[in-house]
Amino acid sequence: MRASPLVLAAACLLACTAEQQPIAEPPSYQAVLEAGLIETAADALPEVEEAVFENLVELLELATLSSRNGETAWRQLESMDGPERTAALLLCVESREFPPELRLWAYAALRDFGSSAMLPRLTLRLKYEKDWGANVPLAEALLRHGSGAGLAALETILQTEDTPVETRTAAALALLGLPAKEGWVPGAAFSSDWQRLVEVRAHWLRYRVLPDAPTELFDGPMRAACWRMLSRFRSQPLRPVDDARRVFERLPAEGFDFLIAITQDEDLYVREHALQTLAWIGPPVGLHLQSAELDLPTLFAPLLADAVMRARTLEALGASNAPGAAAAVLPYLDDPVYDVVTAAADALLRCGDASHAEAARLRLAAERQLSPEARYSLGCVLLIDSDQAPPPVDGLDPSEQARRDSWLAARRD
Amino acid sequence: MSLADRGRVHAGGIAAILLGAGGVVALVSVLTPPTPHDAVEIYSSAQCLECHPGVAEEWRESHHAFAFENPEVRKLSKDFENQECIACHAPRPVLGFEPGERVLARTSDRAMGVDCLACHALPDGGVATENLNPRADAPCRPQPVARMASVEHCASCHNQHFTVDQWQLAPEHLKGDGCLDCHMPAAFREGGRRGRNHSFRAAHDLEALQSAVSMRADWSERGPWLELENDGAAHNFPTDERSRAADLQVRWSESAGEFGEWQHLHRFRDPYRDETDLTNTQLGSGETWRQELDAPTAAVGAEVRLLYRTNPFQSDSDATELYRLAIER
Repeated sequence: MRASPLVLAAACLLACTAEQQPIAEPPSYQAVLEAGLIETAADALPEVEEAVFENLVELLELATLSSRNGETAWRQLESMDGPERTAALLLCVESREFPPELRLWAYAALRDFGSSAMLPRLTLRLKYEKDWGANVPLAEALLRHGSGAGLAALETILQTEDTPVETRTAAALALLGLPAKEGWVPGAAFSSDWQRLVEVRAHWLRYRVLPDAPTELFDGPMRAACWRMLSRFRSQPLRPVDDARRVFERLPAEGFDFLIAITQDEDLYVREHALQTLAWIGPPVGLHLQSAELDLPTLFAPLLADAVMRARTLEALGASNAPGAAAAVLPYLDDPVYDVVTAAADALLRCGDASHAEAARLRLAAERQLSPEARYSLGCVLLIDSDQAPPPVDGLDPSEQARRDSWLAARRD
Repeated sequence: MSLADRGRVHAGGIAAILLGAGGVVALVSVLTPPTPHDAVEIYSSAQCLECHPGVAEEWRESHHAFAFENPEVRKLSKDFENQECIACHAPRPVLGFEPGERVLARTSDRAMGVDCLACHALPDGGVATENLNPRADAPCRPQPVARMASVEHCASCHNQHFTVDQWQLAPEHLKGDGCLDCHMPAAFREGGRRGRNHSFRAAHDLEALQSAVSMRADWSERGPWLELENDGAAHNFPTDERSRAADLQVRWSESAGEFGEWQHLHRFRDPYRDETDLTNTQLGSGETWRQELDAPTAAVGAEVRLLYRTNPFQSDSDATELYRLAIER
């Protein structure tokens, strides 16, 4: 049995921390991503040969026919080699030139026959797939593999009156595939199906896990697909990085383990993008690690010892709202680097409470300069226990103020 | 010698002495090194602006200063919901990364956009300058860094939309020494100090835009024609994927001084990734686009114009008109 990325990362990071308290040296970064790619090479989706692709497209064309030929074609699709079929179907839905009506069938085939290896790339389709009709089987395919990332699309389709009736009907039928719950009879009444959608979505957003999902969702092909998606973090052009981050923000919580593992990668950009993605995901990361009984401040302590990584690590730590995060952040309010102090002040606002008001007050009163962002965040920390609005700060961009206001509101909740 | 003469000599002598003394004082003031300033820790670009008012004035008017708050950027990035965009609109110091590699976002002073430290801060906390002989006693203790003048320095941000790749492919006679020739020309400041202009003239400056391309049109025996030549920009026109567009339009006249509606002729633009039905029509450096126009039978003349849009959805009235030419049959 292979060790999960998180166990590997934890072992590596904790080996650094056990003997060295306080930590003075940053970790020795390793080729984590490359090792993951090599280790899972055998489970990766295969390259698709042209003949296989053409055969699959032909079967999809036949499947659209409402006759016995259509049914036969669908059965033939079902009998194709699994990984090859998944890889070919993904090429269909990702191709700009592929006809929209066939793309809809390709999504349906992925829903019915796709392997878990499709999950990262299929999640990315939520960004690019503009056809509402195609979004229904897309959301269903994700749901069958433990992801609630497509539920927002179903919700939007059902709430938008000008979507075609057949699309809304399909979306309503897709709700029958939501995880079961005692007392809920799927299809008995739309209002109760809708209510179940709202519940499941709220659970997904909080934990990035579907209700009653198995603890170990990711199999070998899925892990191989995750490493391959992560390799986009090495890109210098922005778009591949942007795409991969978007995917990992929407993968089930086991995907966070990969991000934590590559905070140890030898490539600065891979580390930075992993930490920033963890920061964007926020509290679900803290909850996931709690359930795995892992302590994020301890895991990240060596990274905090690296001056280059410190600001981004503080950001991820604060956003996670993990237990012990605030205590780990406090010393960095006095860091000599201006940008690190800002990151520490922001982090304290995102994971601290009223008991940290005194630390915030002392730092605000100190002579060393603070950025407008840090000044405002610390001002917010002072007011966590009150309903007063924080005083405005000169030079702070309104959108930056709004972000901090939303963090303050979250602390007050 | 009369008393008067002696008086004049005396007065002249005093004047000469005074002038001489003044000269000595002036000479001493030039030759004596100024009192050394204590070195200061530089943590924010606000400190730079205090000592460099001339540069500050130029930069404040520039789109670098405006990079984080620019409403057009906000709109195209969904108010920075696409957080990736922040990396270049409020970057950490570029010199903290390998030459030409992408820059990452900073956390502090975001409202200052692409600020002084983004280009000048060294990873060790020092300050870099392109000047090979900087004032060693300036409070920020500037250090000469050759990379400051290189295209790689700008590439960290400006190649995200391929402008520096385009420069690499440009004809040698247009390339010059790099980005600074056109976008940061030499500037002379108070005290005769030489530096570079920090207003970064580019897509929001009519003169800079006009210097990029030439438009020609005429009505020959074979009919009316129109040409646009990229003879001034060492990158595509317009450069920058998706955000920029330039349109050629024509309006016909059937009687002198009276024109019909403007009609679209051609768009120069690199489309965005979702625009699957469009191809890249930017005008490469050194290239010429030409079209014979299909004139209505009754037309006696026409006007053609080139509009530059800072976003492809900008209305004609908000776009910048770079050229307008009149032609007659």
